[in-house]
Amino acid sequence: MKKSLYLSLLGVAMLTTAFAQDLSKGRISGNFEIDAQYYNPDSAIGAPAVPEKALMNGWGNINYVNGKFSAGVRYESYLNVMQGYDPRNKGTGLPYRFASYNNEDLEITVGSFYEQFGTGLTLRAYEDRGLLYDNALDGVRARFKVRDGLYLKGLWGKQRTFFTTSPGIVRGFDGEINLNEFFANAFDSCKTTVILGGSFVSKYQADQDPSLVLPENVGVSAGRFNIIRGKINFSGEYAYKINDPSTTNGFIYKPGEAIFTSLVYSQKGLGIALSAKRIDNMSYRSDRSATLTAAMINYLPALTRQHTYPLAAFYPYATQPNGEVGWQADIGYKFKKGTKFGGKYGTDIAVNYSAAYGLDTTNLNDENGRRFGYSAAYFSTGEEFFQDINVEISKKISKKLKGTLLYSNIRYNKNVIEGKSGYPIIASHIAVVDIIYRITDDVALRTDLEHLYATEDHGSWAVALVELTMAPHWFVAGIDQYNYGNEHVDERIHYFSTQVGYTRGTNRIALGYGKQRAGIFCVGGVCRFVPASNGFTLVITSSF
Amino acid sequence: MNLLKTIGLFAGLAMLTTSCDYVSVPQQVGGTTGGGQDSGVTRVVLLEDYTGHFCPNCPRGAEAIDSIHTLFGDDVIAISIHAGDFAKPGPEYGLPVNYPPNSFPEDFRTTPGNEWNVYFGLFAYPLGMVNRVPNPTNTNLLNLNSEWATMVSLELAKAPTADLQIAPTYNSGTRTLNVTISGEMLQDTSGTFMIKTVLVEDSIYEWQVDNELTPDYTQYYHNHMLRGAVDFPNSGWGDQVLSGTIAATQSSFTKSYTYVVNNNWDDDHLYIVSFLYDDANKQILQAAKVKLK
Repeated sequence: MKKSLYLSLLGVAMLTTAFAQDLSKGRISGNFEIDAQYYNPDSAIGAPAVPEKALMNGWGNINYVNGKFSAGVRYESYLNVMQGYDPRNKGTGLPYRFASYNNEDLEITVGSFYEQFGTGLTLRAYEDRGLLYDNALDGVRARFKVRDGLYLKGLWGKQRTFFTTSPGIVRGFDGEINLNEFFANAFDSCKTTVILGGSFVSKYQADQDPSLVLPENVGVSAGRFNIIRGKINFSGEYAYKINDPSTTNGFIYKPGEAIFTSLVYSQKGLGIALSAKRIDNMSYRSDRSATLTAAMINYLPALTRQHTYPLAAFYPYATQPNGEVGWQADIGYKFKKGTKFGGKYGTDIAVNYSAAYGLDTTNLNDENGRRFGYSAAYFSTGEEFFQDINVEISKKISKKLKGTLLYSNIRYNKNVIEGKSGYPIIASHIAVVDIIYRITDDVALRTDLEHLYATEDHGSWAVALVELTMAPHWFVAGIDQYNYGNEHVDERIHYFSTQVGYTRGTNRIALGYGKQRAGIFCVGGVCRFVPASNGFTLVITSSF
Repeated sequence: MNLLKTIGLFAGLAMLTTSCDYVSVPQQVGGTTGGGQDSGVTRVVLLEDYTGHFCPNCPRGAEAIDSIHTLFGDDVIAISIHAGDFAKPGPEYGLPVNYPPNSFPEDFRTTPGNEWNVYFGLFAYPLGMVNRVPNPTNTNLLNLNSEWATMVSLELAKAPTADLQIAPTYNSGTRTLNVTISGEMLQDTSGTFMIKTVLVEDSIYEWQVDNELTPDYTQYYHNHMLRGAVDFPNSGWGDQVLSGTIAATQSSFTKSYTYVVNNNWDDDHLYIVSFLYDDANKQILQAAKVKLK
């Protein structure tokens, strides 16, 4: 009886237990960041006058841990939100706060939390503060280790959308069993590890539509596996969603499905990863009218390399939730020291290929019927969305000098990825030479030269970056992005920016000045114009 | 194991309470009803559509308005407000490389529209407001075109609280409009109430970006486009008609305006739109629309 009441009394018990503990024995940690920019109007690049002159994004996390108890808050302030971010973030508040207690393998969290089921096809609540993306759930969550090898999770909450929550209620359950741990005796001598899992997520949103009968409860279920043997890891997940008409899919009632699989081989000096996915009508949001990045319950991974060099990242791919087929092969090899290609210090080479295509669909023209919208063939592909073939070679040449060479060939369907039409596929060739020269033990000079060749869109670009680091406190950097190949002569503009930074311990202050180009950001049926900017920037970060 | 049973019960309960709704017939059965009436007055709803000729998704907003008119007829008045960066004329916007030279020459922005665009915080296009009332499902004031029909039906289901009439006389020779706006409250109330009177034009055949076309630009008919304000041309805000504690029986008001219509506008396709709103929250109580001539 005592245990059977455990759950229902847990909320009270958790708080009373927490206050009963000696607060002085706990540990407080946190981090803080402020980004601010002063904006100058610049007619040459189309940078508008900003009424506030200066805008700021700032936030700070404070977390407290004391034994089995933990709690935390994050204060956020966007006054007003900086250009280039969703302006709906404007405001200040404490949108993230939680308390959690873990006892006897049962962890209860109340308030805000992040969570992921499997690969995220059914649910992934996460944050990326740099993008101001945050779809944290606000509610309650329980995680329970039933016994070795068997793990359960359950949650119930509403999703954060900026400083409020979306109208839908999200409920979810996930279970995972590690057969080797669960049946320890039977699998004792087995060299293969098998992990199976399943999840179910449902959302509720009221229907008030005058012309359509909208499903108020929409569920997604998924099953997954992970088989590990020696150097090989094979995993996969399949998810199925019932009718979920929304703004993103044009209010069709076709069920959605997604399949994702990955095969990884890894040994010292060699890594091979092959992965593939097929997504069909799998946008899943806690507000059926939400667009852009708001109220997304699930996560559909983009099987492409995430480039960090500016020109290689110039045409990035974004998963198309309404339908796509994609695959990726990633091979990394290290030529050992003393070999012909390895030289004195060894050489790393990475080859990556990824591609994404649309589904091969047939329009059903059933708007006045069951509204499935289209049918999709399973084993054929439609329009080309994206392709990236890249090779990167990294080599330490001497004790003072090391370098990276990158070549990337990217094909980019601007119509699909940016929500436009009438553009040809943008075929770009990108070359990068990145050299780091260590002048002294504390001073290093980095030079990064990049070139993007394209005849479509804005044409060719060249980039030069110089960065001087004086450890442990100072760095100075300057970068010029020059659109020399623009068909319009008056748009052959230098986007120059520079930054100087000072670091002491866990504190970092950086001051910059520069120009940023304009762009259009279209997702899910609406478009947002991200204006060009020209001005001073200030970044302060700190942690304790 | 009791704890395990509890968890199992919790999971089972979760599954039961989160059942899925399968819909086999998506269409609502029966027609829609709207235009709540009281004392013979029909409630008329104002739908403001914020758009721009460079906005790739904005034709979907225009399509949504067409569908709403099919559903609700003249009980809905639409105004398409060209504002923001997407509404800049071609040279100012920075005409994309592949667009025809000298295309998108027109500047359809208006002073009232620009003022509303900033005041209501438009951040993407197309977004719209229905009577400037927050969406009850998500509290958003600015809503996607997929939400407009629902919001219109909810607003139309409410009883009318005011009556509004437009009486124009128009001299085609001098292009001079004299218009009288009259109205009254249908129930006792308090506050400050304003009327705003504007001109909208149909059938303007001009450029528009459309991401469902190849190439993604065309010339098409822009309808219910906001052209300007009849009362205060340089302001988005209107004329005060009632203030304080207001008895319905003593709430009649009348306002008259004289306005010379721009020679570049086709007076065969112009309409006068007037709306009564609460100055405190800008929410619209009643709207009316008549043809210029």
